Amino acid sequence: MQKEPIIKVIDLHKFYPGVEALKGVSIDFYPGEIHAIVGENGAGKSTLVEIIAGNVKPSSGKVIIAGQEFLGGINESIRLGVGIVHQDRHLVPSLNAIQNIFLGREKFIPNDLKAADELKDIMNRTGIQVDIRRPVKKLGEGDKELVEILRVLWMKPKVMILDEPTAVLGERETEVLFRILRRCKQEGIAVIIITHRLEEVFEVADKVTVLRNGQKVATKSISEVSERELISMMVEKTIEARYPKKNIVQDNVLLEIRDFVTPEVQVDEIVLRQGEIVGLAGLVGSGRTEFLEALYGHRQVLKGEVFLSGERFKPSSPSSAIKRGVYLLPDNRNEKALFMRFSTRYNSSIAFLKNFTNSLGLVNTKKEKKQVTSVLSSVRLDTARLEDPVRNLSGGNRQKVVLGRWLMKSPRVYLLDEPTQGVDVGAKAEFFDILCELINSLGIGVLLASSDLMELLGMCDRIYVFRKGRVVKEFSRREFSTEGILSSMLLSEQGSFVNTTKSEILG
Amino acid sequence: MFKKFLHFLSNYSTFIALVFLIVVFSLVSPMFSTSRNLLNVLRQISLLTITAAGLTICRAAGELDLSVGGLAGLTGIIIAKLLIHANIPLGIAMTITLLFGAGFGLLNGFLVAVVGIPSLIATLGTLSVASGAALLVTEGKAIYAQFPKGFTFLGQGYLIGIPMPVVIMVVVVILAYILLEKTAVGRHLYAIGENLLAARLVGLPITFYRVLIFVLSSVAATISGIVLVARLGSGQPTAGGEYLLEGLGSVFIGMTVFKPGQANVLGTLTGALIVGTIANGLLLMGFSPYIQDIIKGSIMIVAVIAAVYKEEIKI
Repeated sequence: MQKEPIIKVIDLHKFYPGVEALKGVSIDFYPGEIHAIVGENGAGKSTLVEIIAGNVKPSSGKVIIAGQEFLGGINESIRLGVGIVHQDRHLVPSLNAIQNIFLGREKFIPNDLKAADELKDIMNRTGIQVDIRRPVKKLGEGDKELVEILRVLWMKPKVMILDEPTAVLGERETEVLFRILRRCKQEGIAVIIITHRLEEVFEVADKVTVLRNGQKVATKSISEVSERELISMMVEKTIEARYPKKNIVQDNVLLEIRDFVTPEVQVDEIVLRQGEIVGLAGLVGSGRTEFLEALYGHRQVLKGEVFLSGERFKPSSPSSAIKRGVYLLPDNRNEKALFMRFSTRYNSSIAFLKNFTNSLGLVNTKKEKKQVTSVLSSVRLDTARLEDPVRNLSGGNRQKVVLGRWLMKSPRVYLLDEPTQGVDVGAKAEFFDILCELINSLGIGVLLASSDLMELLGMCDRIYVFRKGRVVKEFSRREFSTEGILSSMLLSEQGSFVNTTKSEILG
Repeated sequence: MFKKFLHFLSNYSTFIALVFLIVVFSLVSPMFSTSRNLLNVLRQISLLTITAAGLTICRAAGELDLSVGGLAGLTGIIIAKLLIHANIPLGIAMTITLLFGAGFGLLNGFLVAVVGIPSLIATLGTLSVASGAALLVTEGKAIYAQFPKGFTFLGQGYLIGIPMPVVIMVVVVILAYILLEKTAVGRHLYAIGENLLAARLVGLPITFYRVLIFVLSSVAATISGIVLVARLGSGQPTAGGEYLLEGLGSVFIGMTVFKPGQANVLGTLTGALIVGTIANGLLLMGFSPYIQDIIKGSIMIVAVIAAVYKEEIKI
């Protein structure tokens, strides 16, 4: 049965400063199909769907929706029948689902009863079950997502896009979501789903498109592709080339954490040796970030014993951690680490300005420039444009600025939280290459939290797996396996993957 | 080259506007460009600029201090009372008043940085407290008296031909400029204003700094309160109120120039000069003084619109 595509994407290009996010991508999406888009971080998945949803303008290329050329803009995409469920929530927390969904579309005097009936009808057809009268802030993550989906469905879309819908969902919620998506498909909606989790692709999708580095590698029917083939299509170079691991672990323990309890996490033991990269794996929300930030003194610590080279270390504030040479490169660096409008020089020297001040507190700019230039060249950043604001830099170069900042004064431990978020593939490899160089020359240790399992497998000497705020397993490098680590990240106790067959659901 | 010129134009347009104003007023009114009148303009903006310098420091770190309007009046009353009713020697009276001002800033800082009340609300409250206190202790009446010579010199005297308030303004502006532009403290304050979370995560003592800025702005307001009494020769409980609006106006106009998007001392001075030049020029041209406020307000709005459109000001 050959249907007409509902969306035709033709030769899309998108340039960002320093990065070409899409390099000529063409895909057709058909009604009544679930089409998964997979690819690594920075492959261009989000850019692609944001263009279709009208949030991002393409640099060149065409999008044809339902036979009409799409000229951009959110309202236009809604008019043509495109609905998107974003990765981050777009809901007003204090309002309930009805009020959120009808926000801006209500009559002068809102009629909640009639609105509720309309929603109930959609819920019956698609099997969505959520309390639409409860303020959204009192709903769980899964329910919030269902509210977002309900909002999209209420607009009677021809196309529904979901950007990493399962990132914050538990397995039960994921199962519910997939059941709903299958119903939507039966209603003739084209569902486009972005995901990192390949097992989900095989569970729910009919077709899959692999993006790599801004280019389309292939679009395949799910029946004609295996998981192994998908991975090899996603991954460009061999792991060795992308993860240039070459550091030497020494015997002496650098950081020792015991019985560490915060309101969010509980860690019995984590040990870091000199020269070692220790990975913290786990889903988003598993407590990795909370753990690192508590260790850095940014979050409350209830109890725990931490030793740095055998001496007691009390995580009380970031400044006390910094005094001991423990430095955090936070996730979400644009919001947590950088002063976006200020120059590269300013951003590099801000933590250790005291190095360059005289007794009156006046900054010696000459001295400052000299040292900034020196640290930035050791992280291989072009130092010709020190005075440009960091917001003009690419993700990879911004991360170099943050890394360089923490070279100003004898580092001992780096706490890296999602260091390659928003960094393109080539820059990622370079980042790790620099990191290994620093580890070897300075004898530091690194705790590396990452959502990118390949990255952890490629770079770490050992990996601790976090789940729901606790360390559930430790792997040494020779025990590394994707399956082993994934299953301890995802599974509760001895359980197995959610493996509902399609016949079970449809039958 | 042309791009550079455009860049220059957009960064310095407010400054160019000031120069333009001065040229126009000089052409229209021959009185305007006499050195006596120009010094007069400077004297008129001196107290406003001192207050605005403090507000600039606050704004650089991302906060607002509305209480300065009430504090200038209150500290004026305090120094008048100390000198006249309590007969305390000048040096000690000044010290007590300045300490009181600093303590008032400490309270603002505590409310904002420790308790966590947004500065707009906290200082709106303390603004009301300060102006109420000034009215309460004076029962709403001005304090007229013969002040010591040394005291009135601060407001009415001259140093090598320059009015003392102008001298004090220049000193305060230079100190504030050095603090914000040349010291580590200034860099840290701008960091806090740009991104509070990142500032904490790079280890800056943000609570200390966020208290410090309110102390500094209160001390600046106290200085203008003291000099105002010395200039008028009387303590007015409601004096100083206009410093808040005009001071904030100067800061916001100043955020469009030199370092667009950031409160900066030279910009604030430019803003205050624009405010003062317009007031003076219009008066010389024979306009009603009431029209000044309308024009000042409009200028501020236009300047800030320009900056907001360049996405440089976040308020």
